[in-house]
Amino acid sequence: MKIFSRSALIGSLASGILLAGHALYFGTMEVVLANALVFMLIVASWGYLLSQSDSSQKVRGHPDAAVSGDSLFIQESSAFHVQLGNEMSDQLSSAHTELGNTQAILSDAIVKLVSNFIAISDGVRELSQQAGSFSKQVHQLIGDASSMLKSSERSADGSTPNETNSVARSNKQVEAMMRELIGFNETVTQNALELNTIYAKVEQNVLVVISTLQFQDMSSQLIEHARMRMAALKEIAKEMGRGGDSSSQREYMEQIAAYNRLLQKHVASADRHKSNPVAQKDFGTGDIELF
Amino acid sequence: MAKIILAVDDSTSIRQMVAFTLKSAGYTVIEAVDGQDGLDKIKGQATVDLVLTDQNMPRMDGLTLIKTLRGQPQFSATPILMLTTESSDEMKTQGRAAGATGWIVKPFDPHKLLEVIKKVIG
Repeated sequence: MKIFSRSALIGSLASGILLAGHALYFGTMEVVLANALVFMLIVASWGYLLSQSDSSQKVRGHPDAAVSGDSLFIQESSAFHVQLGNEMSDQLSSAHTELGNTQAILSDAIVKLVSNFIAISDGVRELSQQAGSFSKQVHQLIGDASSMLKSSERSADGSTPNETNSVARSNKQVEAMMRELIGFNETVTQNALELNTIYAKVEQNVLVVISTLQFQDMSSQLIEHARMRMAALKEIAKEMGRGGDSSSQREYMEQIAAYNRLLQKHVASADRHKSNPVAQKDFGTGDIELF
Repeated sequence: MAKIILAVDDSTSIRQMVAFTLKSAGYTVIEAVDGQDGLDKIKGQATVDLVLTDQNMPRMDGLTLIKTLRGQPQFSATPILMLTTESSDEMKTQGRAAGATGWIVKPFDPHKLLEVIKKVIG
């Protein structure tokens, strides 16, 4: 547009000189007037062209102004990325901690639950064993008492009739007590057998519970895997939060590419460190393979 | 005399469950929290009758434990079973190459576990 304006200016000046020469050559008033009008028309056209050129430049903006506009956009984008990075980092950090707490609470609960089941099973087993042992002791006691009774009957053979009668009465009383004791022991033995059956059932139930409670271990491993990935993403968000000093579009794009490279690096590192350990399609009890 | 089994797992609840299952069947159980702890616990032990180990553990994983044990003469023929959530063929192949006797995928059925152990060590 500048070149065009200069050409118009030069053209106007040349036209003015030619028109002046033409007016001087012919020397008439009409020619001078006509040439002056033509010259004024040329100058007016030149002025109009100049004004259009200015307007056009105002609409398009100055090249320097365009540069400063790009810079502003990049600065605003960078500031947005910093804010976004910090926000993401905070959120990921909170989620990482919350998942860790959930994992710890679940683990603690399951450990206590298993301990209690095992304690119940052990308690019933001990009770069953003690009842069995008590029954055996009573049985032994009855055997000993019977032997002593027979021994006392033999000893009484050479005694006086009064003494013999007294021994016989005592023996009958002891025999009656022993019958009661035998009856009691039968009950104890029966109870011991029942306790043994209960213990076997409790143990079987604990074994079933063991199959079920192992799912906590699997979920714990999945949570740990998710936490590892969250930690990697948090590192990238933190890096975004630190921000860069990119002032041109090229530097800004390089910064974005750097974040992308960091993401790839952390994801690859997470995969290398530990692949997802729980990949079963069927969550029934697991396969067994002997090599 | 009761047979001795080394049970290695970083999960407390799994260790409890394995120990309960094995003790209820009359085995003596040595518990360890990872591969390194397992090696420490059986140091000086003439032998153990069977090793039951998890794969993913801190400090030393199951595969490394198997390789280390296979490098020691007293454990070169000891049956070693892997008890893990890992179920890929790739991992099983690595286990076999390291010297594992068998592979059990969690969650385990206590009855089946005892059957396998009985089959392996009698």
